[in-house]
Amino acid sequence: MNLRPQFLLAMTLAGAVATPALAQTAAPSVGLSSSTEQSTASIPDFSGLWLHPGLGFGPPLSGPGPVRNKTRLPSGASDFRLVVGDYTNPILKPEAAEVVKKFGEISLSGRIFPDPDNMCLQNPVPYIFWNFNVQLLQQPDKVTLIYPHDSDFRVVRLNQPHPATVIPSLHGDSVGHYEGDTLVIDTVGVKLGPYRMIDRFGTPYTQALHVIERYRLLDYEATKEALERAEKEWPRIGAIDPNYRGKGLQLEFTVEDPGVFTMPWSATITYGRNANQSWDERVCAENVEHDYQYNYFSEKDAHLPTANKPDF
Amino acid sequence: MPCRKLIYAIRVASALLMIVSVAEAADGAKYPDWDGAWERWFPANAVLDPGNGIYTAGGQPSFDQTKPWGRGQKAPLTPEYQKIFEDSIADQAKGGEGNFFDHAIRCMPGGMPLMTIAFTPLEIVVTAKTTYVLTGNVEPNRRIYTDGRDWPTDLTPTYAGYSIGRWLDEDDDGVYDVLEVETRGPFKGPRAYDATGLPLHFDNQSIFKERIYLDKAHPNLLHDEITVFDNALTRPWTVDKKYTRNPNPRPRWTESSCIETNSMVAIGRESYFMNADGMLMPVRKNQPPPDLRYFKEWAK
Repeated sequence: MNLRPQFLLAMTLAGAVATPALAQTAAPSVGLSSSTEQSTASIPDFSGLWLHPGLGFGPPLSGPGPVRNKTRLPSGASDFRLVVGDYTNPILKPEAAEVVKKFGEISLSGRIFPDPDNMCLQNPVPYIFWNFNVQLLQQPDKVTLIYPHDSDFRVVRLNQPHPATVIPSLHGDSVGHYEGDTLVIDTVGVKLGPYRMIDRFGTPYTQALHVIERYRLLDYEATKEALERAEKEWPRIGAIDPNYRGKGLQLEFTVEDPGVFTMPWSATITYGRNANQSWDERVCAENVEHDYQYNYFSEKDAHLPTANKPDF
Repeated sequence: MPCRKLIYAIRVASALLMIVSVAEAADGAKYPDWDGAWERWFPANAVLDPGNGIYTAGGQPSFDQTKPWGRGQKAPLTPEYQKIFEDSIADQAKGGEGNFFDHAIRCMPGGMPLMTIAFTPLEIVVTAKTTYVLTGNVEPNRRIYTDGRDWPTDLTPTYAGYSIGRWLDEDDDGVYDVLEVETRGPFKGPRAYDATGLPLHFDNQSIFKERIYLDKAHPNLLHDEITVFDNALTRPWTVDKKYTRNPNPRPRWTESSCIETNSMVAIGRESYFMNADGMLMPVRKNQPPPDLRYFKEWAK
């Protein structure tokens, strides 16, 4: 039965439109003035609700980029309804390319393969970046990143090394620091979950996965340009506030995993402000779909298809 | 229902209170240090549950931490909801999940107030306009708005409810010491106070009023005085929930995923157990198998 994953994907896409835009405007977190290695005045303010409008990873600023979708819309952008990874991407080692190819064949057969999102599992880094919304809570000794998928969150310890022995977890062990206007997060120790993939195409990872995130604010014009560039790869689903003229947020991340990739590669995700006014609960286990206004319903209200007899 | 008028009165009074509090959110006062990992407190006479290695006043973690779960809570339930509660316990005695079905079998959030139990440590992030209570384990994160906003008129049902708070500097020392919070629905449900299925009213119209503050004598002890106004209660029910701060200033946050470890299968309102071999097993004596009418060879 393939209905459940389809509903979950529908819910995922609905989340782009239905979620955030909290009233917490650019106000720094309380107590930001102590114990940071960088002075408070120069620490960038990442507060507020951010939304990126596309489903997948955006193009890199330079160099090798992520696995891309082979299926394209007439516009040339990725067809998010049919995810078939380009297994010929030179970043992939042969074994990894074979994995991506097999997942693509499942998609092409009309089925949806299980992934951490549609199986309602915690999402590993960097898979978790698909979340359309993110909020960064900056404190003196840590940054907490909140995502809508099952109210997930990551805690990044600032100005600390990784422990000598990392206990693997799906979010991995994340430490960070500020470099001028940029928050740099280094993540290792990502657990090999039941559906170990770093993107929507099923690209695998090993325990050697190493992800470096770099968050920085972009001016309005640069944000607009970056969003337009991203939209050429993934069509816009989420509703960015069209009236917002402030700064945007860009995540550039680099992925290394010698067990899977022939070389490090990078990608970007550019965030604007969400056009909606609240951070909605996204409960994956509710198995809901969305209505035409992109609202969620509990199961009793969901428009589940019914059948009086089997199809075969 | 016994509490309905009281709930209405609280709503009106609280709306006025929130309007008055607008100016207080931006007065430059300092905020208390609530950083760290807040773990569920248990009383000195707590007992160890060898099954899961946790200490409680009896049974699994409870709403009133000083009393055992379930009947031991002595919740002031109306006769109608006492009956619902007893039915839940009876169903659990036979292997079912009673009123706790959705949370235990389907990994749905428990919502308010179950999410205050702290099955895993809570993280509280205080910012000027919002205080976040991050719960983990598929429970929604709480956002307590302290920016002086009024109640929205278009609230949709949620598990966490909608929370508006205000900071108080009760000892007038320039540092806020109490966060007063009111949380309203409509909620999603059904909800329960603990795993016995101790129920809240199925109308999902509960209101919660809280006072959250550090203990004056023990700065690593956090109080959350919660009063529940619910139409399944004969009177408001107040408990003083406590949390202890993990002494590690940089605690390691553990991940907990209900789905990842869930061996239960829900088919309609029936639950089954899936063993390590992937075989479906009954959870209670003489439980019938799922309806197999559409599996032609097996339906005979």
